[in-house]
Amino acid sequence: MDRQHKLKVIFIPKLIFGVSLLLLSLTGLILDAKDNEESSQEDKPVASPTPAAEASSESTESALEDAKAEMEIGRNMAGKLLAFYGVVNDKPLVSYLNQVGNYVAKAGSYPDRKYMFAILDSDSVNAFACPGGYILVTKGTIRHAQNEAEIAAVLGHEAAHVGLQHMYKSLKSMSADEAKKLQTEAEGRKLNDPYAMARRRPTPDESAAGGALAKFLMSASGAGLSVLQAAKAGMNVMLEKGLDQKLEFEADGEGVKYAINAGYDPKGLDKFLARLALEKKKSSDKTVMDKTHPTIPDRRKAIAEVLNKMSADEITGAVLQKRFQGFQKRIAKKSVKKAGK
Amino acid sequence: MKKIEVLKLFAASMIVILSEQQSFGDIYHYNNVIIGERAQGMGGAYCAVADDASGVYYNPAGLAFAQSNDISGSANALYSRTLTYKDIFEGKNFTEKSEGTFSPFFGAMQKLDKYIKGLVGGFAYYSLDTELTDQNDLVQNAVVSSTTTYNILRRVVNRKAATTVAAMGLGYRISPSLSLGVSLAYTHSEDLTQIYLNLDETTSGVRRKSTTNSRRLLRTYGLEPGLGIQWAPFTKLAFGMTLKQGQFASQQLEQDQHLSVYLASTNQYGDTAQRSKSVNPLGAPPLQARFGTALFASPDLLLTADLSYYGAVKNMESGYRPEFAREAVMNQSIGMEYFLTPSFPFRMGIFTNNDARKTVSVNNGEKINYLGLSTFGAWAQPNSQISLGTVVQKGSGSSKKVSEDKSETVDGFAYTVAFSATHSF
Repeated sequence: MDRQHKLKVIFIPKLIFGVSLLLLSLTGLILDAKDNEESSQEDKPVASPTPAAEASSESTESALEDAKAEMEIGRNMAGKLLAFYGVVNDKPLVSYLNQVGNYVAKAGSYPDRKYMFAILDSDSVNAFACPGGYILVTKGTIRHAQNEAEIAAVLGHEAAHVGLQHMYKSLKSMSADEAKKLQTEAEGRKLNDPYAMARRRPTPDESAAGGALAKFLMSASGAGLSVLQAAKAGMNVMLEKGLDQKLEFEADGEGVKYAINAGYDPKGLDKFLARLALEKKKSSDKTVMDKTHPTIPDRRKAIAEVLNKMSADEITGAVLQKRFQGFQKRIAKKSVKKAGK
Repeated sequence: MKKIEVLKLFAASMIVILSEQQSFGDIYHYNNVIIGERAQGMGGAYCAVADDASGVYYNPAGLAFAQSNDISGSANALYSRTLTYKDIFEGKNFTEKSEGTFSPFFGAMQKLDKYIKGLVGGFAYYSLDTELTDQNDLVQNAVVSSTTTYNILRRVVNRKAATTVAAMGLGYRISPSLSLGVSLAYTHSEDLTQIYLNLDETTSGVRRKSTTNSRRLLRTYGLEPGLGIQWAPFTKLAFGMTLKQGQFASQQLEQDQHLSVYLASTNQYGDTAQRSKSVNPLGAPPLQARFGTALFASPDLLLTADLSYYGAVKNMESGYRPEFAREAVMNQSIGMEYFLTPSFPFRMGIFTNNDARKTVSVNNGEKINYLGLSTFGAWAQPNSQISLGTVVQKGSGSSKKVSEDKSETVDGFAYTVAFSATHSF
């Protein structure tokens, strides 16, 4: 076989296939890196807790890093939730939700924070507070509420989670091993398949190789979880394990206070939950909210205590049923359209 | 020249030497190329795992345990096989070397839960055997036997052989611990050998010169249905079994030969040309049965073992060529996958690649049982993985390279450097 023919027969196909494989692998690695690009600093660790960050001038830099990490984690989590549930793109409705949400949040303990509200395309009743102020409410929650006071209290609850940094602090204090354990447990619950679980291989860390280099280049401290790890762990907390129950009660109490401060009916959240409890009696299905929150009777009991302490019976707040229902109809129309399709 | 003398010479040349011994794409070994990214690293011990696209080959039932939708590809970037025939010319060794053409594997797998819960489909295109030979020999004054000396032997062999397969499979979980699978493969093999042989020899004092120019082409097309089962009596222990019985849709062997002989002592010259076509030279493909077990000891450690059986091919049909007779063989393989870190898995496998030749003759090459070792390292990212490693095979056996009367020892050594990539989505 002459050399030219050999070149054609052996080397050219090898070259083409080799280049294709290289492209395939690079594509894979690039796609992997895409997530990381979204957070822009994939392996940058979540900054270590700095209790006096806000007060001390020497920790200003650390506080800024902290805030940046919080935003990145939250944005990553919100992105995952939006991708998972889908988003309701109705400008007037989203604008209305942002108006109410920001109004309640401004009446809360952290008025300087920025909050962004969006509607998830899900019929279940739930809302999610991602670190950094990304608050996502399901379509089902808006349909379930009967007036603006109720939805304002729900948004107040979520704004309290953000303001008090419930999720972010939980993630900051979480070790890599805890995050991994959480991931495994969450996957186990999700799969509910011990045979598939037995076949699972370790989840590779971005920090294992490239991350180590990134850390070196960025001269980061290496403490805590990477942004991506934290976001993953956050999703597991949000959808599977839930926050510490005390934090949920705290958010309920704060949410009620924010709503009252904003001039809404103090009993908005309680009424919302009471009706939800009635609906749940009709169905045995366990929702994400059931898995991640205390029981509704316990929550109502805790809310009642807060209302008592505030002498809420003496407060008359706005309900704004008519305005709310106008927007609620838009949600109903969207659902009908979707069902019709 | 008297016709009878020419025919004698022709007969003599036909059994001569280094000329006709080509093994037709090595139909006698079943483990020359090990396919699949993980499977390749584990010496092909994959029947009880098979939960990626290579499950189409190892066990379609394994597809049902797929963790994600995958697309993967691999290529044997380098393949080389060296055969060393010992003491072939009075104490001298003779070496033949062949390269592989590129032997790719490309596979994809898709969960089909939205159609039927627990159903997974897979597709794979792969090469099971590949060889490219460009041999150029010059032997001078070689004493072959007490009566025969090769004054000059000049031989050029060009050969291109490959068996490629396009297969698809379906795996279905009928219970959490049990899955069934079916596969259907389209197989195509083609082996083209062209030999130019110029021999100047002296036998019992008679000097003769001959030139042989031959071309052989073996081509087969076939279908190979397969059935697989995987059963996990415990979450961490699984067993697998696969049965395959292929059928050729067509198989054909074409042979062309032109022989010229010159007897120097009598100054006589003669030549002859032959063309033949065999329609069913290989008989039916052998029955294949594979049994495997896997221990998913921990997320970091996987241990596997396979036994693969290939049945005998018998002379049952007309047109069958006896040199292609194959006996039943059993190959064993064990494999291991260990994650040094979550991002760096290491895989290793040991396997046999036994020879199915029933007998050794000048017409069917050498019988060598190989022992193989595969070692691969990979770099894993959350949804992607790239692997690089080698598969080495070494063995020893016997051949009849020069004549039916003389058997010699032959050593075989083959290595492959392979690169592969997988992406889950």
